[in-house]
Amino acid sequence: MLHAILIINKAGGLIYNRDFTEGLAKLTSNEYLVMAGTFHGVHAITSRISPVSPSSGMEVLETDTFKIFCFQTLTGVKFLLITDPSQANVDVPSRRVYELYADFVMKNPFYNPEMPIRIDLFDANVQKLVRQLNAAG
Amino acid sequence: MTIYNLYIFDRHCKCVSFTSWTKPRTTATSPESSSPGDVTQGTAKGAIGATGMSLEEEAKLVYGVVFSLRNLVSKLNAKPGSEGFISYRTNAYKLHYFETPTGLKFVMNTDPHMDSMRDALRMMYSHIYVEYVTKNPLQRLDGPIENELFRNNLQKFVRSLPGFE
Repeated sequence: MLHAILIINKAGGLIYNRDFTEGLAKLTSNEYLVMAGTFHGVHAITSRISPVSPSSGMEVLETDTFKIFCFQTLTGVKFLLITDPSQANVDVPSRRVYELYADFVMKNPFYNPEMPIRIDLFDANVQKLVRQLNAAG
Repeated sequence: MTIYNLYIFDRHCKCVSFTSWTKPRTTATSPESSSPGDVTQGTAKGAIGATGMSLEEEAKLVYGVVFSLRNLVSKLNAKPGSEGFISYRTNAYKLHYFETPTGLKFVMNTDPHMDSMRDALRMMYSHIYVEYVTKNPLQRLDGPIENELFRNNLQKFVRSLPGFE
């Protein structure tokens, strides 16, 4: 079950967020911005405090009520997928969201890089994808 | 599978105990003759942490990470009263977190494939910390833990855990 999707640009700014279920607390858009910034900073530190040599940043964060999966692209954009704690991995969904991002955001000539994503076609396709995923299990 | 290290923070965010079961990450200036099963303990000034930077700096970073994540998680959490942040994983290690109601924080780094260490950390608190630190009349409140009995029992406990290589 996918609860929410957030996209953070390479500078730590929140450029997209959408809730799909009632599984998480309702936050204001300001709180979401703060959360994205915090996550971005913590993600950078987690690779520095590794007890073994080179480590990536945080990939999965586990709590008793949800899991946050972080997929970072080569260009530094982070896709956060917040799911049920029972979710084992999000390899397929994160790849699909990345494809949608490439197709409907990056290929959109009216999109300013690093700015919040306000593109209906992207939104609709993400909603469709998540509906499919959540219906399947 | 292996266990890398363990930090204990008191309620004033001070690192009161640090134990490492691996050598510091960066290559030291002098060639070390220690065997891989070597143990570093203590929070003395000038001690080296697991990443090769000074323990003082490293403990601040670790505390900052778990503190931020704990706040982030509790904000997103719709169910009040749940335990919150349990662990996170990178491709090289996994950090396990356990906090007592008194604000004492146990942070353990292990191999990324390790199962949840929550119960182990809770055991460590109730059977070792409480027994040998809380019940020790000579332990200074909020001071670093320099107790031999505590260290030895911690060693014995961690080495008996299923994940310890």
